[in-house]
Amino acid sequence: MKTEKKTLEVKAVLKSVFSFCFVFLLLGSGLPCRAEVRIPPAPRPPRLVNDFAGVLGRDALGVERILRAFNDSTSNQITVVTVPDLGSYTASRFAYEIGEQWGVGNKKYNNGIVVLIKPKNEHGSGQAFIATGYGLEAALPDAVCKRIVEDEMIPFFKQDDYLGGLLNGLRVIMPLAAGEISAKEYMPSGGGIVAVVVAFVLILLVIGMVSAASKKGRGDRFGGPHDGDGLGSGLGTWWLLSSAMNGGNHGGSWGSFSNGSGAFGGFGGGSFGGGGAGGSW
Amino acid sequence: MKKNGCLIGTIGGIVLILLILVFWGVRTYNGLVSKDEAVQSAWSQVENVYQRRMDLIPNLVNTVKGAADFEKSTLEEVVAARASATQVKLDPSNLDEADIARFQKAQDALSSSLSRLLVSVERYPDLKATRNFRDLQAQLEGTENRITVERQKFNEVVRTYNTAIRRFPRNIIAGMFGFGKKGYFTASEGAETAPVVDFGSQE
Repeated sequence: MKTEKKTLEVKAVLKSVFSFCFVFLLLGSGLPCRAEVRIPPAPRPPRLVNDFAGVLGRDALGVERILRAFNDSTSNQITVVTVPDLGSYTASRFAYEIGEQWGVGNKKYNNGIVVLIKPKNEHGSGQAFIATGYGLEAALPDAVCKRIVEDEMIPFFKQDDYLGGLLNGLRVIMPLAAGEISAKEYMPSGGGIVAVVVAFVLILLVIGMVSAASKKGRGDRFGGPHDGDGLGSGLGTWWLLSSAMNGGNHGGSWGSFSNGSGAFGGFGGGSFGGGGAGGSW
Repeated sequence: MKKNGCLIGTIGGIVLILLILVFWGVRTYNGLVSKDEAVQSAWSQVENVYQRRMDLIPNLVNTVKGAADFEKSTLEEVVAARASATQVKLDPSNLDEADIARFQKAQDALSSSLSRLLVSVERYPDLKATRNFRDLQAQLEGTENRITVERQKFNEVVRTYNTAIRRFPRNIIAGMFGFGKKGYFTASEGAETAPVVDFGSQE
């Protein structure tokens, strides 16, 4: 009798626990299951290319070298961030937060740039945004950033060529940021389809070179003894080619970037004011 | 002799305490002054970005005017809202809650009339497709982003300042020298509708 009462009690308790859990489950399934997206913390050790979405593959290393060399020679810091999902952020907000929180650019000159790419995937349409630090707002006005994203980058992104679009964008961003060409001089390539085809061929070429070079320099991550050859020079050649193809309009000494560089000293505490523009596809 | 020594000791003690108080007062005062300066410089950034938007509007109005039969009333509304927003100029050394609220109200009215204008542009695909308009749109979007950022930065600086003037015993110094509480920007109807300028993304 007593034990029966006890089992009854236990049953009642279990029942309430179960119903409690059930209610929780119901509530839980009613809520959106999507994990909250947060701004990623600054990478340690610091690096300029952060391919969180994994769309650049091995080539991220080559881009990293170009951007490090650009940082060393001009002190302008360009960081490339790819993310699979923006969550509730707009692309502009996400890029701004990265710039501000990581402190991209020099503290004195605020000369940082964030190139944010959110590939087209199950989380929605593709988005790209170029955010400029306070110090580069004049060199890269919003309208120019928008043109770079829409005319130079998105045509490649639409074909899932993220490396190609990124490189084609950087080809314009870098000389603009370095002051080698002015925003007025930058005119979007009116060639349209021809320019895209030419650039596409070039990119196939560079991918070939990069993969050949990376086979040679395997294990050479972030500035090993192979500095100056391998990936760096493969992409360097591409830069030379591409600036030649542009009739010297975006001229500049890309050759110097092939010299790779050692460690990246980290972000400099630059500040952002919400400048820049982007687009989607 | 002994009495004298005692007196000197007491006076010395009092002088020492007074000196410490004066030093503390000076330091606190200077600290508040630099916090007040920080608020003022954040404010000038806020003014800059709003001014930037004001400067874009004539260009926008002219571009839109060119489009055939663009509804006049929407345009006039923007022009009027801009004119009244221009008139609200604040004294940067004051910036209390009433001031900020007044400024925000005028600017938010402009924000909402602007977003109405941009919504109605949706009905003119030819206008929307022009390079000129797309450039303007990029600039407007960028300006709205800057406004959001600078308002947020202003609020952060004001929060530091307001906390400083209310903490005991600093509030005594703040009260003596008239360091008043500053106002915050609040998320308002206008602020929420402003970043609507986002239709470049819909293709």
